[in-house]
Amino acid sequence: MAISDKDIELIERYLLEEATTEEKEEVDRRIHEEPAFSEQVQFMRGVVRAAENAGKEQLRKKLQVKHEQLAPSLEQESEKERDAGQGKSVPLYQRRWLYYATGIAALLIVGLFVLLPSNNTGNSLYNNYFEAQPNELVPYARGEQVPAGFGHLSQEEYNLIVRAMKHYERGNYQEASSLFEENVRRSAENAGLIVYMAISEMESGKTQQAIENLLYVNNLKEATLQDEAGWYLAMAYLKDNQQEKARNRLRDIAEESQHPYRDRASKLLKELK
Amino acid sequence: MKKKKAQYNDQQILEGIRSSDDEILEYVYQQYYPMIYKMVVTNSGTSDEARDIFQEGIMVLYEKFLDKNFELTCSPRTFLYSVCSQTWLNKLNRQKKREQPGEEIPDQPEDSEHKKEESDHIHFWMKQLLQQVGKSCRDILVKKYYEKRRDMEIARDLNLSGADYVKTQRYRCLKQLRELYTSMVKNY
Repeated sequence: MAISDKDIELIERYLLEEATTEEKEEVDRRIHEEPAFSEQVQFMRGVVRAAENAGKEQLRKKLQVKHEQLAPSLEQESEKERDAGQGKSVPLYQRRWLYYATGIAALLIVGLFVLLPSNNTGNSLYNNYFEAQPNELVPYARGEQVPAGFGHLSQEEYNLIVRAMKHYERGNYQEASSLFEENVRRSAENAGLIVYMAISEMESGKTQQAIENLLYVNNLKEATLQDEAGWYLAMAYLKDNQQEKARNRLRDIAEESQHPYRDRASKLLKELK
Repeated sequence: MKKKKAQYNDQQILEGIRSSDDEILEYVYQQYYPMIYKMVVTNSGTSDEARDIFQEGIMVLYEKFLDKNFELTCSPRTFLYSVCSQTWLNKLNRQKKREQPGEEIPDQPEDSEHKKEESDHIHFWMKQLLQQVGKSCRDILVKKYYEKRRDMEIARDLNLSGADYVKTQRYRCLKQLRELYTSMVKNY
């Protein structure tokens, strides 16, 4: 039996997830009842996949051309900057590399910034300097038991924290912040988690809550990710356009000789003036 | 090398990736590649691995942009960094696991395996046939099924007379592909 243009249109909408509930039900039913229709769906699924692959291939080729044109000089520049002051590389999972990696990324952004007009608002500075803190706190793998450092959490609570962190790592900050807020209460032992919660809040528009949470960690006597809390607090003030508070916070960081964000804070301070 | 001034907003960047716009891809490379390169090479990676991770990240960013159920709540730069660093961590973890064998990979249910084989079979042929139907057909199908463009947009991008013409042409292409597929399967 020949397939009509109307059926082709219906199958197209079905495969592109544009079909209404009724249309989806119709297609699902006809797949079971009409072999010719079912075969056409299979055929068109193959076409869609082939077209997707061809599209991906086109994009990959274009990226590859750009890579060949631009990557050598960009890599060379990065190497120069690295040799100029960032020091040697260290293995992953050791905390210090994060400072170097994010430091270098921030330097690159500062480099770009120098070429831009100087009338930046707190918000645009925030966009230029903000990097999400990589997850260095919550390990996870299939069947993972509650690890050391999270002994105050039940298995169920820990699993929810892992879910929040997975959202965070995928950039789903809205979901991450909601899950963190439901499962992380303010206490010194949760300081590290509170920092990730605050970053998620900052990136999902809940800047005021982020500021309160970062202030809490920042004011603890000693806490996990406390240096990071100070830096992100300055970022949150920037985002909220509270430039004077951001400046004060950045000054504190820049004056601390051992602070991992010292250089970045100094550069950012100059941009804020 | 002098870097380009920031001149595109997030939406323009995502649209530019969608249409493989030359200038935007160049901008994306200049703005985003250095941070990913640094992240990979300072963590035991090579420049080739940095390229693969970066390009994969761009593909993920693009596919998320097309996903109607996904809302990008941060800048493309932040998203890209998160995806690339996670991909790199996963790769390092896999390498570690390979050095410590023993983890079993669960079998897929038989039914889904069978369907997958069937669809892989059609897909294999279709990949070959798509090369035979001519560039104009291929462009229309890629714009519709990969870039998820409306017919009106396809007409504009490919300089065709209108949405109806695009639709008619697409159905012709599908019929042509169908004939080629049927005869290929018969003769195989």
